[in-house]
Amino acid sequence: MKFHYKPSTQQLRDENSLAKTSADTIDTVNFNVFQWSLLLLFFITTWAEAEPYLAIKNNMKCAVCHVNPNGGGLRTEFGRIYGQNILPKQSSSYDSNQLAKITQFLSVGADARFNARLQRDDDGNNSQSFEIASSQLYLNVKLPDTGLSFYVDQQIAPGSAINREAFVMYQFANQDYLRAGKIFLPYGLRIEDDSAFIRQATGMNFDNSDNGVEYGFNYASGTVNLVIANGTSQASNNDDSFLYGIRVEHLFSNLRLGASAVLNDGDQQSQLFNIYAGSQLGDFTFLAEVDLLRLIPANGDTKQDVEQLISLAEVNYQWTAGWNLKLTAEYLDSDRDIAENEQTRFSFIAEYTPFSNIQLRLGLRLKQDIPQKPQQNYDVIFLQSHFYF
Amino acid sequence: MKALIFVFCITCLVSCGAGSGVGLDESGRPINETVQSPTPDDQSVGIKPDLTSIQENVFTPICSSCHGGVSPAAGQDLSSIENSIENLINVDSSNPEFKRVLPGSPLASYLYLKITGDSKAGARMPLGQPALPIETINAIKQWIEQGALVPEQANTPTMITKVSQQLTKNVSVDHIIQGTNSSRLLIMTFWFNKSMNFSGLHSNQVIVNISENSQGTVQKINIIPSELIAINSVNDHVLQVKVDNIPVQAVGLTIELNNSNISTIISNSGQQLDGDLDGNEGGSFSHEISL
Repeated sequence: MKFHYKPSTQQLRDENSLAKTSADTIDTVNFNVFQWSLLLLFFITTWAEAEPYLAIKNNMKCAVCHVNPNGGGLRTEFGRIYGQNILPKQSSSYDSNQLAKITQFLSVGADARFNARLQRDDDGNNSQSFEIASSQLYLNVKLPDTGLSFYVDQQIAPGSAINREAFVMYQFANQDYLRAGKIFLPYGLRIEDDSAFIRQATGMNFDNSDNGVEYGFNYASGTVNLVIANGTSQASNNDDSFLYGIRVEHLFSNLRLGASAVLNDGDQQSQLFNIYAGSQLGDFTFLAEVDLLRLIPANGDTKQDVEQLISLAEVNYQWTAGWNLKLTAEYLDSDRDIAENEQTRFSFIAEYTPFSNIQLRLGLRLKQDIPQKPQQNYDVIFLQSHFYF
Repeated sequence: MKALIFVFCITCLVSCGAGSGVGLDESGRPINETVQSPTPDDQSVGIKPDLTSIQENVFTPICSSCHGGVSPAAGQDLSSIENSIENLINVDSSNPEFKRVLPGSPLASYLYLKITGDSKAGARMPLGQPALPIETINAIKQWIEQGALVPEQANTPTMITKVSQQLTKNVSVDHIIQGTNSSRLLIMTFWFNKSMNFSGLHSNQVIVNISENSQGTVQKINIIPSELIAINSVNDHVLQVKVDNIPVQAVGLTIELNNSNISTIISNSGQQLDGDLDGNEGGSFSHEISL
């Protein structure tokens, strides 16, 4: 199929709704919408969240845009079309399938982020640098008529190659799936910024996959993910216990609500809970997540339990094609038994996608910690170019 | 209306503030929790090249925000000294060429490469934060160079963390005159993770066996006499063992320390060497090398 069609986001929402209605309704719509609906039906599977605000804005499950049910990485055919035609100010007219779809069953993709950064901390340290923030290559092999696929997410820069994900997935006829291998665990809003408190403190980020098995239940307006993993992020389990996790998410008309729970029952028991939400109001998209983390020392350890509270609030203002303003506020209380130890971080980011497959981001991040840690009180200005396909 | 929503959002977002830090130390812990009687070393200002200082100044306040919690990044929990020891010293890194910390060798230690931004190790740590000050990097480098010692009071076994060896050929005048084969000298260096008491250790408490090739198979085992073994304490955590007159036909060598029948190696705090690495004190340490 070859697409040169640029629907509005409202149309996309309508078409997504269509995808969830009966086949009789689909018969009545025009051919373009039919194509989109087929795509949506085909790719609505579970959940992915590299840029969750886009999923919330369009009221779609994130896996509409990503092959990986749990975030980021290789884009689906629809995701490629969205990145080529909907996101940028000016779209290119090439056929993205010719670039990314090697055969009917083999597709590839990439992300590359290059940064220019200027940092200053309260200790008087200044630094400025250019850096390759990350470069990934993705590959997905989908075996015909079996429901089986094999997926690899390989970071190739900076430094030596590191495997982020490698799993085999089986998709059932009802769109439930089972996958096993090295995976990103399903947990909360998986925003792109790994340095966000909710991703950093929980360890649920793109720098930290784990070996395990996940089952995803899919229903029309939501997903339920169950996972069991080593809980060590390593190739083998170094204790006799596992990590158990569940995430539940439901999509309402302009609102999505979700909750996650993780129990990592190692030498030190860790418990993690969160609730998260996303909503869309006109050109604004809102995201919020609150996490409660409990660390319980091993038996015989005299240390006390530690309870952490972490939150994120994000507002996106996408008033015209190609532009998005993102404001985030983050809060981290690293030990609730200790007063006056809280940290905050505020980000002001302008995202501009001038044409297909390249996004420029200009951002200011203000990190605040207690005065006793001057190096942890710093400001960062960055300019990032993000190439994707 | 849009402007109103925008202003409201910004107001809500920036209404939180960081803690004032009142009553907290430089790690963000209550001051009364960390009051200790100062020792002469504690009078100095700044980070020191020992794990306690590195833990307090770097691992706990900076690294453990990612390398801690429910699912520590890369499975590397640095939130306490015990976790740092368990997850760093002689642990394989994500790059198979390197250990996370290889005692004695900063340049072969992924941790050092990471904090210096070496291209072999990928993104510089701490991720998304300013680079560590040069004095902090130097303290970590020095700690690794000195053998990545762990504090005496740390709740970890006393272990040998690294063995290095150097084999040289002995060609003496006697060998030339007598027309006999030359022999070899092997110098092995053992790195311990804690300060040790080597005073009671003698050469006859070190067992060295060599194996020779006989008819294509390695089978003949000879014990090297203790007169040909010399031990030398380089410092309180590095022990050198020299084995002389190793015949050229020897193809393998096994050295055994801490055999409970003949000797016990203990740390300066009285903890026995965990030679067999089972997490409990005691057990012989055996090391094999091919010659």
